[in-house]
Amino acid sequence: MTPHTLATKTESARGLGQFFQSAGSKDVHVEVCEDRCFGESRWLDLGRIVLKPGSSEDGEDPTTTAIAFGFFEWRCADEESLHSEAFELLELKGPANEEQRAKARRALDSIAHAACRVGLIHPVLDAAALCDLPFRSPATVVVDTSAIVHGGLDFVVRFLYPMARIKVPAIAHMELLNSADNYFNMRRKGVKGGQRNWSGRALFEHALSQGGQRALLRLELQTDTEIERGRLGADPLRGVVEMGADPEDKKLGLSILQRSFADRLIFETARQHAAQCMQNHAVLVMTCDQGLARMTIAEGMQPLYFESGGYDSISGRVLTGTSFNPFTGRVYGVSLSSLLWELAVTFGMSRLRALSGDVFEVGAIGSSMPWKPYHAREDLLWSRLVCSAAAADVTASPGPPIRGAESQEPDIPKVGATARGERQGKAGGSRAAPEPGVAQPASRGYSGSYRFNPTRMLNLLAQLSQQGHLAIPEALAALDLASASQLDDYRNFLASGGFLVQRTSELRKTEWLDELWNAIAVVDTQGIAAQLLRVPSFERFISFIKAGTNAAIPGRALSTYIVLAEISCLGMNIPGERVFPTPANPKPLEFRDIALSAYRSLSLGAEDYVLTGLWLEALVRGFGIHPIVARQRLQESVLEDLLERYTEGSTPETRYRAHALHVLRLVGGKPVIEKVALFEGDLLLPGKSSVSIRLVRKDE
Amino acid sequence: MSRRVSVFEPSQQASLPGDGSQHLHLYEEIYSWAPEEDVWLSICESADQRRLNSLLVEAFSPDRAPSERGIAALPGALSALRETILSPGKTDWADCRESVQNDEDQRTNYRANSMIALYNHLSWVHEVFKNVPGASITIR
Repeated sequence: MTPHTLATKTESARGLGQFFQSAGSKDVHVEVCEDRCFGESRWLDLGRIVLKPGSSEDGEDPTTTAIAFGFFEWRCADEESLHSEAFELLELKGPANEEQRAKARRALDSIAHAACRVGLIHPVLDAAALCDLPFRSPATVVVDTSAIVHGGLDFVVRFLYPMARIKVPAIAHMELLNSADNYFNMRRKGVKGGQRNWSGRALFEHALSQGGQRALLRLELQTDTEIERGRLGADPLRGVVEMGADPEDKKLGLSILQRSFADRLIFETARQHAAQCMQNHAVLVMTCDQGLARMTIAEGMQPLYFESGGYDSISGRVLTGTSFNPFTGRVYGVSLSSLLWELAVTFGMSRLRALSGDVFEVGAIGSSMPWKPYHAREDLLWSRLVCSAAAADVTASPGPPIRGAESQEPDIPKVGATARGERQGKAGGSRAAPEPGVAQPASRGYSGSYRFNPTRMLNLLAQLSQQGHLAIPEALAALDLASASQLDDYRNFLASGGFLVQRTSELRKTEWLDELWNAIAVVDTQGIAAQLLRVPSFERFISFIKAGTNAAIPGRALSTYIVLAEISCLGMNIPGERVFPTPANPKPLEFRDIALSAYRSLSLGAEDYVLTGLWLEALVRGFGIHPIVARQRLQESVLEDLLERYTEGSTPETRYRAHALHVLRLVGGKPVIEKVALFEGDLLLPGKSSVSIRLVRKDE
Repeated sequence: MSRRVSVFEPSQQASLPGDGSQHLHLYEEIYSWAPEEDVWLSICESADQRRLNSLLVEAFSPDRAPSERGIAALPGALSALRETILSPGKTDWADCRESVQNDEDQRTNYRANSMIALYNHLSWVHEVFKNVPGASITIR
């Protein structure tokens, strides 16, 4: 049996991609298993998953993209068949089990709650409350346990943050913890057999506690949501939990909460917070408990009430991974991995099963699945891929077969190449790449643009420079790619610049690749620029941005070319404007006048500090000076007593969050591409925050 | 072509100039939403497009009186929409204008079946507002 291995949602996309490649995108069912309530390897069918990948453009793998961005349909099972199948699995068919069946129905409502938590559906809000959303001024939402478990909290984080701040009362954590204790007590003592069958209640406690705790962990670890934490001593919480009155409860060690007391503590948390806030700061209690909502109104505060939808709200429906934002109308996506992860935590295990027998499993709780805090921090779950043809787990898989590897052609045809024969060593003059007798890639005509991950490209360049040639599987391993089709853009980009020649089953470097890698290895931006300009599409991109347009490169490959331009100091993207060319490299004296001119255009006076990011962008926009060049010239101007520079660190302005620059740096002697936020004060002076800057001419 | 969905509720009654016997009923917009994608692009057949346009846009046109386009009339249109999206081959997924940045710093266009997404959203709107007295809806 293939063992489960720990994987993040992102890492699982590879295994899921292999699953769909093997199983096809039709007739795939999503199922869940609770090992103690249903029994080992007994699965409940929740309906069909239909993947909707697009066409393969720019070398990206459409299946992986579809998994990552939610291009799928979930055709939910009918409620009647779901209940019937679940009661069978829970062994609750007899008339004596009505109480446990009721619990099981509530547990199965958790499927809809999980869908709501990941964002496939929205909570049905009170009409009056929805009219006031989204918030136009800062407000605090205090959530009760029902809001956490039924998806209200995730709705607020997804659509109402940052205007909405979140407060999670301690009692909500406690209620979930109590539920978790109850579940694990039942799990240890057995939920089936003996005098009574507890499987309905155990399933309910499992789904409630694990689903709720996951929502809270997500809030803490995976979002940048601002959470208010109140100081509430332990005393008010002491009497809220008591042993259940039922003798069986006592036998199993199950506790219950005094509901009205718990609700009151939620409300008191909200009122305490309201007392500390400005008068016009709204504090709302989010709940789907009618009693708590009524009490909140009666006490003069606002509830953010929503109806808790049961499984009937999604029964027989088609839910899609991409939906519309209920306020802005923009499309947003929920990855297939997110759905599988949520269901796995809620029920213990989830899986995709194809009719072919292929299975992709995700597990959270099981006898062979230990848990550690780092699993929660990194959102790691146990997953495995079992293909009917050849069993393979996610991490051990050698990857799909290499397309074209068996071809008898001496050279691999270039994907997307045209017959224009566009370039012949423009930047490199007449210098020919070595390897006599091998077809020169530059002569084939590479007029396309290429989309790839520049960081992965560095790994490929390092390996090629070191080894001289790489077999296709080695190149895929260097790039950490699963699909051979994803290699095309890397290969074609390098071939179009004459950095490599292609054989049937290997890539072989040329002398120019060594020159490119040598420049990268010492962060010689001029050397990198000279080498990259050998690539026709990159050269075209630079000439177009000099003419004031990005039009040389289609939108989907544009980000690749922007990164290359930025790390080679040939250009910089200013969000909301365009990519500006940065060819200038003035002498210190000339730079002093330019720097002061740009500073004065922004400052209100000689004593004024201006945002460093604005100053750097002014140099890019008005004078074509790249921020890395500006940093070097500024340092020289200070050393030569031409300029005095004063800087201040302060809270960065969040409106410029997207203004960032890709720079090449050496980390532990290894070149890496980093994204540096221009307005966070990290670029100009190492180790010192310089969010704002003031410049003074030294001889003034 | 994107659409705008608005939900109204009766706001107040104002007297028209004169002897005060005639009243003007005013309505207040309580929810407004416009998808940023062309929702009709997902429908494969133009006949279906015309039929759904008639059921959704013409039936809930602002030209009509609020009583004719009450929120209670929405389930009928939703039912037709549901029938279309559940029928094989009647709708399909298409690339959206909206794009997203992936882990590799690249931008990828979203894909959606905007008819299913619209159906799910309108169902949610109906669930939220279905019991609001006098609520009406326009789709334009």
